[in-house]
Amino acid sequence: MASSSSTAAPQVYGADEVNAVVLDPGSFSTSVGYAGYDCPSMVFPSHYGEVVDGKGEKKRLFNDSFLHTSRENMKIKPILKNNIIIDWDGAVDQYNYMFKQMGVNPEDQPLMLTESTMNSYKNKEKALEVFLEQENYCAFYAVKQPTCVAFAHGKATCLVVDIGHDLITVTPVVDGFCLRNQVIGTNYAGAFLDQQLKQFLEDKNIDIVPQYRVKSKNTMYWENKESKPQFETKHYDYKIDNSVDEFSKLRVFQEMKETVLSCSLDDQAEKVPDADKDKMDVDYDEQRYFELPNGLNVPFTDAEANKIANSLFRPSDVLGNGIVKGWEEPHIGNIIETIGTADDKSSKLYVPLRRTKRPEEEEKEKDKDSNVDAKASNGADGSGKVKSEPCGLTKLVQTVLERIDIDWKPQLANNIIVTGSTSLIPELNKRLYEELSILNPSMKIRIQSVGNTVERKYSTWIGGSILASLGTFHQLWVSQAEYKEIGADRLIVNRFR
Amino acid sequence: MSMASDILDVLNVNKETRNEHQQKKKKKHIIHFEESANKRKKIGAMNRELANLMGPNLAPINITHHQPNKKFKDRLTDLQTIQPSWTSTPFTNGSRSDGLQLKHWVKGKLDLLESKKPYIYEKYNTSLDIPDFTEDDYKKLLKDINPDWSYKETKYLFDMAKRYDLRWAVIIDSYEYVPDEDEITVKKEDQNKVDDKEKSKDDEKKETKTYTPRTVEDLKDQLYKVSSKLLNSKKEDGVVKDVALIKALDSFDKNKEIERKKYLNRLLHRAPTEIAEEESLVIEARKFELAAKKMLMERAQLLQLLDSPQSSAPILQFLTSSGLTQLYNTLMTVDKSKKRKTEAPVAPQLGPNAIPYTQQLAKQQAVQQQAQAHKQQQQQGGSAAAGANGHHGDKKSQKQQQHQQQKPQSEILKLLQSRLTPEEMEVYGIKFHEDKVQAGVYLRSQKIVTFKPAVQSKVVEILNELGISMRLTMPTGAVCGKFDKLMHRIASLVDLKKQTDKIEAEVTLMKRQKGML
Repeated sequence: MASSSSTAAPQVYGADEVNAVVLDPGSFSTSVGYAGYDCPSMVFPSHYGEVVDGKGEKKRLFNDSFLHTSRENMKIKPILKNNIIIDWDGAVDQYNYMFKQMGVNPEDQPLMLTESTMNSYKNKEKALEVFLEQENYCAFYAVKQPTCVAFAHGKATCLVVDIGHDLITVTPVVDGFCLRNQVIGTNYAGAFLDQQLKQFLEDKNIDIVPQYRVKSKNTMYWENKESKPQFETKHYDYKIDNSVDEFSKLRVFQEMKETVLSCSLDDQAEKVPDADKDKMDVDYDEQRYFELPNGLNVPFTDAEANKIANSLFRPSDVLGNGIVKGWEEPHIGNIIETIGTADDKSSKLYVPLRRTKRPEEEEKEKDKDSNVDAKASNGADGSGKVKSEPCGLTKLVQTVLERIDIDWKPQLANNIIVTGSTSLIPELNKRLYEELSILNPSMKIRIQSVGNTVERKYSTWIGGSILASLGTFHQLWVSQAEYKEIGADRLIVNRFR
Repeated sequence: MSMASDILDVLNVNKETRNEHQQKKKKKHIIHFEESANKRKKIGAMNRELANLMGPNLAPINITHHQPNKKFKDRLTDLQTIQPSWTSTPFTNGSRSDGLQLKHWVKGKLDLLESKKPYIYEKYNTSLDIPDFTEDDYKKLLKDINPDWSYKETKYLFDMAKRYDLRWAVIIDSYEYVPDEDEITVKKEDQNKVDDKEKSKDDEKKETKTYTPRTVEDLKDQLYKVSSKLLNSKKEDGVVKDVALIKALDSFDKNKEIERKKYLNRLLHRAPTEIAEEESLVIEARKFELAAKKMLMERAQLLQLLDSPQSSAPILQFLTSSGLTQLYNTLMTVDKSKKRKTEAPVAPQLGPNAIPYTQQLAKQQAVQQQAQAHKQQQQQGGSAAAGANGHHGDKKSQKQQQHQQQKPQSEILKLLQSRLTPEEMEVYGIKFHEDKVQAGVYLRSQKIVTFKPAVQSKVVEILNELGISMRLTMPTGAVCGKFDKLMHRIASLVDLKKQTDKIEAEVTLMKRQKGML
């Protein structure tokens, strides 16, 4: 990848548009657009609605506005899970729907797909098959998402901290290459906060009513468990699938996260008011109200909002008190093992070793000999499973920094890029910075993230857009001829690892 | 304009013809006049001179690149004709083998773009020149470099190095070589053949061990050594090429590399206290350096002072009185230029009568002393001893001076004491000063002692704490005296505190060091 070298002369205008299409499927939303633009042309939820009509024929709906209204016999299904496409039929349908709206001509326009570093061999094979054979694109390339983020921020070497909906991943990127086996991450991301918010509301005896069920409403304020919202429900004469409700709630949670949550710099601040809560003299200035679709205003004290947001840093705090449903098993950062692509045997040439270590093993080894290079001593794999602490955001970044080769460490620590929609929670960056600075007194920590919300949300797409419009990149496309000649097997091993 | 007229004079063009010429053109220029005047204002310094050379004759054509007079519509039509059209043209990339055709937009019309230029970004498609080898090469040359490496693995390593352009971080991350079963057995056989029979048992034990994952250092070591050997073997006309490169490759030492990383690791894992300590040490060191420099400077200055003035110039010129004063003046200026400690202020000398009696006496004494010292020097001879003896003499003379100074004072004292009781003296404010007193009138409050700024600030702080203001409300003699005493005490206490702090810190440091040992 000649274009990725950091020493390229800056005065050369490197762009050469070939009208490439960039497709970035994320765990919450999927964005599409033409390469060279500064933001995606279309953003769709990574879900689709499946309507089965009377004859048993399936019809898929993708438009946002359709998905948030109810229909008879509609189910809403996710396309991706953990950043990996799980429903290819739905995915292809959705992508074609978007491409059609954009007026893409596959014979002339190459397609760039962003993929997770943990993408499985099968998925890659499928992607090649779908886009080069089925959809007949003249050329295709799959680029790693952290690489895209690095490009969007103009850094060839950096540490990408992506806080998305399903996953938090921390990926070291060196000269534009993701170090795949050094990736660690947890599922304490956006969906984890959703679940906490849900349980928070359940504790208050509040039921979330989706927008489409509300006919009219009066504004009410929640005071105690007996407070009931005043609204009129819209009645439908057919049964509405549970998945539709869940999908609608997703949007409510998204708004709630955007408006209410904020991190605090220390955990002490959140605990003190907790004790006062019993006295019931809540300071109303500290409260923020969030209005649910049915008109009920839910109060959030600063402490409560902080507690939920801080769980990204200290998942053990919330997991210890009341169990968050779906997150009972503590996750310790070994995301590659969890998602299960490490065992994925692809070909004779591609037999990966298990290289990821759990942080607590790391520490044990460190106790033994603090100077041994982390890489050098990873022959011994986990023998005794110790019940471990769930891994917070700072710990994840710190673990990656500790594992990485010492020569790269200062540079990565100096170029930490925080991206993903969930990272927009106020004070999150500040807290991450402070905690990392305390942990690494001798290194200069610098955290970068773009202030622009659009760029933060779609930095992966933007990076792909930059990459696909570079003149030097056009030699990297995998063309149909190449696909036929070399075959998916070797292509994946040599190009898309 | 003067320049233009000068030139016209040189060219013998008289005024009349000039004026005629001007008048002819005047009508035409009236319109342009304002414009040209404006222009001249705008022209820069260099251009103005050039413009002056042009004189009253304006150029017949307007020499400008842009055409402000052109009508807007005309310019539009120009644009249409000049502007080339953009065409979406297919292109092939020479760095691709499959001849993929993509389309991009190119300036110009399609029929004009037929010329086949190579794709502009092809030149960026570079790759590293990593030597290649075959299995035979390996068996012949490279097998003994690292016995635990097989041909297959080395080949794999070279492939990876090529694929990732020697980005070691990436190579080690995706290095996933798994040795075949037969590979290990082959290695066993090989080693058994090579090794002695006694050692073969140990080797078998070793071989039964599983394959240990390679470290970056292992990979680098193998790659560099193999490359260097390969380059060495490639001789052209009996001369080895790339000698510098081979030397660089051979200089890689695996153990040193590991050690370097160890040190680096230790450096990055310092505790904050260690970092703070280090920083403070660095600052201290810098202070020492500065002090040493300053001392050297001062020493050099002193040496210069002690050096006898060099008498390279003939002495004759100093023999006259004017020559002497000149010498004196130059010496004085040299003296002043050297920054010495400012001497105690001396009262302005109005004339011999204006000097107080005591001072005049002291002066006379000093002159006498100097004469004495001079005599002593002459007696002793020896230039080296002169300095030391001079000091001796000074001390003596000072003592004598003090002794003699007290005499006249005590005379006055006696006179006053005979007439006034101490109480009365206090009432009248009569006071005897032990040390020299500045001539002229001053206020007592002006004479309150001050210290170095650092000490002064601390003293003021403490005074503030005590609730005493720096400015005395009633500066009687007694009050001022007490105040002076107080200030001195505070200053000395502050100094003491500083010293004790320093010593305490040292003691704790020593204790800690002992404790650590």
